[in-house]
Amino acid sequence: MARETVLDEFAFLVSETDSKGIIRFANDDFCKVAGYRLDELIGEPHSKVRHPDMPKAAFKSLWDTVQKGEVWTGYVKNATFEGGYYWVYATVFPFESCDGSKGYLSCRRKPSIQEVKEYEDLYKEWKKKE
Amino acid sequence: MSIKQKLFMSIGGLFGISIVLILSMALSSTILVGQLHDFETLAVKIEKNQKLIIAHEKFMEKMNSTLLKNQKYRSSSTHTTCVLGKWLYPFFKTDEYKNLPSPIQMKLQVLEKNHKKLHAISHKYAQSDSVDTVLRNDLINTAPLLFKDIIIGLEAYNNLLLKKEKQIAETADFEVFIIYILIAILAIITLLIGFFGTRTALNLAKSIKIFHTGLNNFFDFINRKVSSLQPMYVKGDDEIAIMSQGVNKNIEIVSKEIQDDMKVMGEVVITLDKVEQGIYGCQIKSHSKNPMVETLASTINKMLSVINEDMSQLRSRLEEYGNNDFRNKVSISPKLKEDMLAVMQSVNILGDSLSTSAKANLNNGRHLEKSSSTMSHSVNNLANKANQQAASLEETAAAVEEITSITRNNANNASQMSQLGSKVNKAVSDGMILANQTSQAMDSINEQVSAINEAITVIDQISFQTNILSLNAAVEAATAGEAGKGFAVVAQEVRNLASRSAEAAKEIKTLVENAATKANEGKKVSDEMIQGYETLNTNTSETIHLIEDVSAASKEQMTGIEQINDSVTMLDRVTQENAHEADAVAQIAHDVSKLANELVSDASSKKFN
Repeated sequence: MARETVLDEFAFLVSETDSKGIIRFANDDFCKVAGYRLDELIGEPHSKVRHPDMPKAAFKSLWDTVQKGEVWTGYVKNATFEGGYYWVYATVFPFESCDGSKGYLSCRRKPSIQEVKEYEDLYKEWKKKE
Repeated sequence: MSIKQKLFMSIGGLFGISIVLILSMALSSTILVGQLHDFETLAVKIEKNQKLIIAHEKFMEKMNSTLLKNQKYRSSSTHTTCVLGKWLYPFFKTDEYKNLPSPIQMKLQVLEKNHKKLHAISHKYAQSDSVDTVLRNDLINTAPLLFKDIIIGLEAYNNLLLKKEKQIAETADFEVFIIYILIAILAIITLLIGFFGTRTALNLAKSIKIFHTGLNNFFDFINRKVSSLQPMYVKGDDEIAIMSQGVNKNIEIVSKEIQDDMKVMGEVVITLDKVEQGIYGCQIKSHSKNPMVETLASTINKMLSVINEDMSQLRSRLEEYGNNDFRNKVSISPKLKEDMLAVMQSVNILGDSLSTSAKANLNNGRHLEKSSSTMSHSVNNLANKANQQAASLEETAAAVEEITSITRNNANNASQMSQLGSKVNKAVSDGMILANQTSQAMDSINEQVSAINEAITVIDQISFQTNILSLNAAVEAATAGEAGKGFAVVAQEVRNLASRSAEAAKEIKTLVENAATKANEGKKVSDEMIQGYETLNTNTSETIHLIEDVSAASKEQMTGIEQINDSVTMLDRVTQENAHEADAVAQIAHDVSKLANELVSDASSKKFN
C-alpha cells in the first residue's frame, strides 16, 4: 500500500513551468513533499509527479483551461519520488516568467479530507470509463 | 417575485380579490335592485296604460251604444281633466317623453290631438239640447277612428314600455349570472391562493435552508476549511434568490481575490526562493485587490529592483576587476545601510587595492624585467662559459683517454717490443747465421756463374756456327731454286733461332754477369749484414733494456694518467653539472625574464587610475 503524505495546514507548493509544462522552478515545499531536489525537477516535465490513478480527463481539462488563458483549479493526486502519493488542491495560472516568457504557475494547498474522499471516488469512476 | 410580493400575492391578493369580488357583487346587486325598481315602475305604468286603454275601449263602447240608442250622455270631463288628460299633459313635460323615440312621440301627439278632438266633439254633442243627428252621425263616424288612434298611441307607448321591461328582465338575468360567475371565480381564486401560498411558504423554507447551507459553505471556504466552492443554487427572483445571487457574486469576488492573492503569493514564494538561490532579476507581476498583499508585492518588487540594481552594479564592477579594469567604482546610494553598504564599500576598497597593486606590479615588473634581462644575460654568459668549459673538459677527458689508451698501447707495445726485441735478437742470431750461409751461398753462386759463363760461351759459339750453317743452307737453298724455296724458309728460321739463341746467350751472359755482380754485392751485403747483425744484436739488447725501462715507465705513467683521468672525469662531471646548473639557471633567468615580461605585459594590460 503506497504511503500517503498528508500536507500540513501551512504547506504551499509552488512551481513554475514553461508553456509545455517543463518545470522551470519549484519551491522548497514542493521539493520536500515530492521528494526531489530542485535540480532533479528543473528541466523535467511536470508529469514527473503525475500519479497513475489520475484520469486523463482531469489533465485535459487543465490544459484546455490554461491554454485559453484562464485559471484552472482542481484536486490532484500526485506521486512522490519514493512511490507514495499526496493530494493537493491545485490552482494553475497562466503566468509570465521573469524573462518575459509565457508559462504557468501552479499553487497547491492542502484539500479537506471530505474533498479528497469525494474526488478519489469521482476519479475512480472516471478512470473506469477510460 | 419578492417574498413581499409573494406574501401580497397570497394574502393581500386573497383579501384584494375577495373585496373586489364582493364589491362587484354588491354593485351587481345594487344594479339589480335598481333594475327591479325600474321594472316595478314600468309594470305600474304598463298597468295604468293598460287600464287607460281598457277604459277608453269601454268608454268608446259605451259612447257607441249611447249614440246608437240615440241617447244623450253626459260628459263632465274635458280633455285635460279626464284620466288620460291628467296623465298625458304632465307626461309631455317629462324627460321620459322627451327621450322617447320620435315615432312614439308622433303617435302620442296624434293621440293627444284626437283625444282633444274627441273630447271637443263629444262635449259639443253633450252640450246640445237635443239629439243633433248631424253631430251624432259625425260622432258615430269619427269617434271610432279617433279612439283607434288614441289606442294605437297608448299601445305604442305600452309596447315600448313592455320592451323596456323585457330588456330590464334580461339584464337582471345576466347580472345574476355574473354574480354566480364571480362567486365561482372567488372560490377558485381562494383555492389557488391557498395552494400557492402553501407552496410559497414551503419553497421559502427550502430556499432559506439552501441559503443557510450555502452561507455555511461560503464561511467554510473563507475560513479555508474547504478549497473550492460551487455557487449557491438560485431559483426565482425573490429576496433569498437576490441574497443568494449576492452571496454568489461575493463567492465569485472572494474566489477571484483568493486566486489573485494566491497567484501573488505563489509568485512571491517562487521569486524569494530564487532570491535564496541568488537570482535577483525577477519581479512579481501579478496584482491583488487586497491592499496588504499588493503592498507586500510592491515592497518586495521595490526591494528586488534595488537589490538587483546593486547586485548588477557589484557584478559589473567585479567582472571589470576580473577583466583587469580597476578604474570604475560602485556608486553607493545614500539610502544604503549596514551590510550592503559595507559590501559595496569593500568592493570599492578592493578596487582601490587592486588598482594600487596593479600599479605597483607594473613598476615592480618593469624593474624585474630590467634586472632579469641583466641576469639572463649574465647567466647566459655563465652558461656559455660553463658549457665551453665542459666542452673543453670533455675534450681534455677525451685527450686524456686517448693518452691513456696510447700509454696503455705504449706499455703493451713496449712489452710486445720487448718480446719482439727478444725475437729480433733471436732473428738477428738467425740472420747472422743466415747471412753467413748467404755469404757462403754467394760464393757458390760466383762459382756457378763462372760455370754458366763458360756454358754460355759454348752456346754462343754454337749459335755462331748455327748462323753460318743457316747461311750456307740459305745459299744452298737459293741455288736449289724453286725446290729449295721451302728449305730457304727453314734456313731462315734456323738463322732466326741462332740469332735469338745468340741474343739469349748474350742476355743470359748479361744476366749472369749481373747475377755475379749481385752475388758479389750480396756477399758484400751479407758481410755487412753480419757486421750489422752484430751491431744490431748489441743494439737490440740495449733496446730491450730500454724497452723494459719504457714498459716500466709506461706502467707508472698509466697509474698517473688514470688518476688524471679520474680527476678529469670528476671535473667533467662537476663541470657538466655546473653547465647544467648554469643552463637551468639560464632557463630560470629566461623564465624569470619571460615572467617579468608577462608581468609587465599583464600589468600594462590592466586599467587603473
